[in-house]
Amino acid sequence: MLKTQPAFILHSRPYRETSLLLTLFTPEMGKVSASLRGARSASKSARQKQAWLQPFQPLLVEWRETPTQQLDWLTPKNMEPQGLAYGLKADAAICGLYLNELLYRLIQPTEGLQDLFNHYQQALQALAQTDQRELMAWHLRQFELVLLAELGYGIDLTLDAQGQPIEPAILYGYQPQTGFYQLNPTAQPRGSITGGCLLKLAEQEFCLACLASWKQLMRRILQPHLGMKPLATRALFN
Amino acid sequence: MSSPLIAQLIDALRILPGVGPKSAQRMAYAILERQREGGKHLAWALSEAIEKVGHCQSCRTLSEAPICKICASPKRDAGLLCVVETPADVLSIEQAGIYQGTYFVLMGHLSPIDGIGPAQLGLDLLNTKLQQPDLSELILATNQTVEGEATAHYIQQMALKQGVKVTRLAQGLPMGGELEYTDSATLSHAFKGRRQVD
Repeated sequence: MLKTQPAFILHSRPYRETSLLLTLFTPEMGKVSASLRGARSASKSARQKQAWLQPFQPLLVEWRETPTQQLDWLTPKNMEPQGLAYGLKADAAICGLYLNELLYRLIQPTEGLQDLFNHYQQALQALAQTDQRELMAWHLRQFELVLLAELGYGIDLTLDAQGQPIEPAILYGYQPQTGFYQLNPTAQPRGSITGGCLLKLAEQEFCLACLASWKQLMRRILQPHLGMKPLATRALFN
Repeated sequence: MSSPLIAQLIDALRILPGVGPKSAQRMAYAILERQREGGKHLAWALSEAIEKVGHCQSCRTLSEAPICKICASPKRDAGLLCVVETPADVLSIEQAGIYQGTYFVLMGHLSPIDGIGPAQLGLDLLNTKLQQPDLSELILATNQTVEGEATAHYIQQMALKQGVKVTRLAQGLPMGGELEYTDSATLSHAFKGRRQVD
């Protein structure tokens, strides 16, 4: 049976003489690998393919589904661009690469990531439309929250570890697996966040003053899922 | 079943790009059956090259001498520095014969998922080059890919801090290119970068 899916390239690497080994993000199959022949040569058709075989370019992949098909591999019969790429420039492009690295590291070949796929497109759209670093950071935080929720690691930003509602005036710390706990207000250790900032994040309310603590918080939350190897894109934000 | 030494040779040949088990076997037998002299020469050339070819201390391109020919040449304009991804890119620009400045070869581009960051591209060395007082222009000639653009942007931010003028190669229609067959991304770049005709 012939199947088609929209897709984005998360990563591509050279393979054999003229092929590319692609890691795609698709709404139905999650992260999936594909090899594409004749995509790297000086020929006219290969050059045209290279123009759109790029990250942030909406693609349409067509392949023949067989009963023996592996979950994480497909051989495209046809692949074509669908509209213009999201024009991520400068800092926005690095933010986009950060999203790709997050997805590459965290999602598995699974079914049903339609919502995450939509959010990814919205995040790319939002990143393409701004040139303010603060807003870009905000879009990244929102995407990180959605990603965790979609993968089943969602956290409740309105309750602490004891199940008590988060109070705006109290300082909180975060412990993986247990959650938020109250801190001594005079201590102010690293990685602490005020209840006010937590509630604003839960309500998706942008706040310039909270950006730095949101970033620290999301790093702590993502850490156990990413493992020992740090995200390389973080080194590119200078 | 081939003998251990032949198997070892076949295995060794497979490190080359595009060489699978079958090609490696064909190569190994060709050398042993018909090309023993050629094979000896290959082994010698290979070990010589690996022993003696290193990276130019100034521009990081592959070079036998500590400083490559281009960097050492007094005819080259040291005020111009062109950043490219690979030694093959240097060759292309040299063959075009339009550029008389010096190069800096990154040996790749920023690729977070592959673990290639600023340190792997020798950007600390580039940063010290940017501090040279006689440098007048930095030309970014990385590839027109998302990663190439991100690399160019990162280097541009570095150069901005040092107060160096930065330029990027123009994008647009290729020579002999027909509009009808040009992809929409290239066309949109060509439109954005249009110039007044004098």
